[in-house]
Amino acid sequence: MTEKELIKGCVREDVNCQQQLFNLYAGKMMAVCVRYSRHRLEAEDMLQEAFVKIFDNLDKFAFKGSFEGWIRRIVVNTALKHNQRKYFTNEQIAVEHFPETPIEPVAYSRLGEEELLKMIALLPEGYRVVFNLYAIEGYSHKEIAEMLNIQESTSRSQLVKARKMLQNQLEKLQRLAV
Amino acid sequence: MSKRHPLDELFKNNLRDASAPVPENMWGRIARARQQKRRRMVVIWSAVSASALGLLALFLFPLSTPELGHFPLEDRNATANVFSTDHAATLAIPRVLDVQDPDGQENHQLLTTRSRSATTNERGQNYLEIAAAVSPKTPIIPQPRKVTPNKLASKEVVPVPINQELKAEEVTTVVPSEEDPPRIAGPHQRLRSQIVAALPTRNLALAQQTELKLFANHAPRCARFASPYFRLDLEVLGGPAYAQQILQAKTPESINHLNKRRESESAGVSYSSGFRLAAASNVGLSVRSGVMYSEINDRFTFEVGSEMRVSTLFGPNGEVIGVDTTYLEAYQEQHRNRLRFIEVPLLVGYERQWGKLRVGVNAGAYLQLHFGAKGTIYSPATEEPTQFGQQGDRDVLPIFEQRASAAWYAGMSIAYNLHSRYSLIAEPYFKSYPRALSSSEYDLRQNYWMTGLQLGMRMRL
Repeated sequence: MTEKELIKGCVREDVNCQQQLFNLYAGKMMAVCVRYSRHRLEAEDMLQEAFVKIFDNLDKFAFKGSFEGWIRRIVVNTALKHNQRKYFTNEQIAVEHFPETPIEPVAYSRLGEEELLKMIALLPEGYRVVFNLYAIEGYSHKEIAEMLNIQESTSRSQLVKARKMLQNQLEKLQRLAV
Repeated sequence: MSKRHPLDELFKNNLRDASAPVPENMWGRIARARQQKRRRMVVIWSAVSASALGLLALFLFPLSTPELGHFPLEDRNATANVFSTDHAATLAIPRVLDVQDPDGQENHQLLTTRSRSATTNERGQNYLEIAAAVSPKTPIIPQPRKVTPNKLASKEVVPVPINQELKAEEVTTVVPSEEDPPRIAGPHQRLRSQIVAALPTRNLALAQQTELKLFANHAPRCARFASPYFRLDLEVLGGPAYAQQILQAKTPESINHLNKRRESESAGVSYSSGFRLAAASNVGLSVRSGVMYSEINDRFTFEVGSEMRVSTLFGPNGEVIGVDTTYLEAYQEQHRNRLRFIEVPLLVGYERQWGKLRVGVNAGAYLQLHFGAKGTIYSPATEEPTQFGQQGDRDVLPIFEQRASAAWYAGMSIAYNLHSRYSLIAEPYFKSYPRALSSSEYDLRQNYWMTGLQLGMRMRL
């Protein structure tokens, strides 16, 4: 069954098609939710809410562009909605300068998904969301500012702080490795 | 094009297409959530449609049934007109009255009083003249009656003997004096006067006939008095409540779990809303029934991250190169636990009226139509946060029964009359679920009582 047939089946409320679609994307989307959440229970809630939205709005997918991208956008937006309540204020902080020591790519090239997810999970909420949106999803600071209703400068400063924290964690790993 | 930061590259390459294990029950949860959403939409749309129809009915109903306040008032500068009872019936003019003449002689006379706006149009023409012109052949039938003094008749009223043949020209109209202007009666009369004034003056006959038709079709009707035996009211109520859960351990082994739950759960803001139909007898006894929705909300607070993680680090050849210890900072997370009830109240009460206030007490049972429970608690087995549900639910801890028992209800309603049909109501109440809502297989017995204030509107049907 092609992706298009699967989507049309889901629009017809065919339970088999819906389950197939869920099985196809649930794992990837769960990883997205884990990146944005503080714990697994929250990630599960996010995933559930996101898939309810996906199935309810599937008829609006116009078969333009990547379907996975469309799903991912819904999942990310749902995750942001979960987090949006308290973690950001419209702070006007100038971008602080953090000395960024160069990191040897070799030192972390062998890090697995699990370790990286753990490192992200240790970031404070605001840093984590901005880092996810900028570094992994590829949104610009302008887009992030609009999505989170914050200043662009806030987005930049959060990203710099997030990188700094991740870098510190990597340095710790490097020291252990030596 | 700016070069991407190596850290960003690292995370993107490793995590962009990463996959994480999905809980086995996730598909079931999604299917259930969608089903609930659909049900919720049906309920919302039904409520919206019912409200819209109700508003429409409220808008239309007063037009067809005049209220006591719309009852035409008598003109203190009354016009005395004499005409047959047949005419009165045809024109639906208020009853013919008997009067006694100033000399004390008993004359069988007919007198009717009308407000100026009801009997005389803007051009000073009398409806009765028109009536006489339209039905000139109607004979005057003398009807001997016992003479009673007429309280409504003023000294300006000119009684006309009924055994005198009536002609249109003989019908007289008394113009009210300037010191005591006429009182305008209800909206029906005002509406008629406006329509009549707007009629073309050139074709007076047509205008008069049209006016007559209007007069006959929209004759002032008597106010709709209530049934002498009972009154029927529709009550729409809603308001916040406080609900207290009562937990009891069934066995000594479950006391730890009981304490853990007591520490982690607290009451949230609950509420109830719905509508009831009330029938109150003329001696004050009442019965009430309807459909009410109640929601009990609790907060479940648990700590996340207060742990130490030890990870072993491996070298490129699989050898252990070190150990990484991570202390996760503790923070608290809150989840909302929700119990939903759709109930049918069966209440009896007693109420009394003091001026505009109507105070009553109601008591009875709330029978369950639907019961739903959903939320998170500490698992009795693992002491980890886990989702709970009801018997028959899959992939959750089934701590509640599928159906809840009936609740006892007692409340005091205070209604303030705004209008002849509408009252504002405030009803403080207490409700208790005497039987445990929890499943018989669950380690704890869990039931609730709730108290709250319902505010709303009472409409007399």
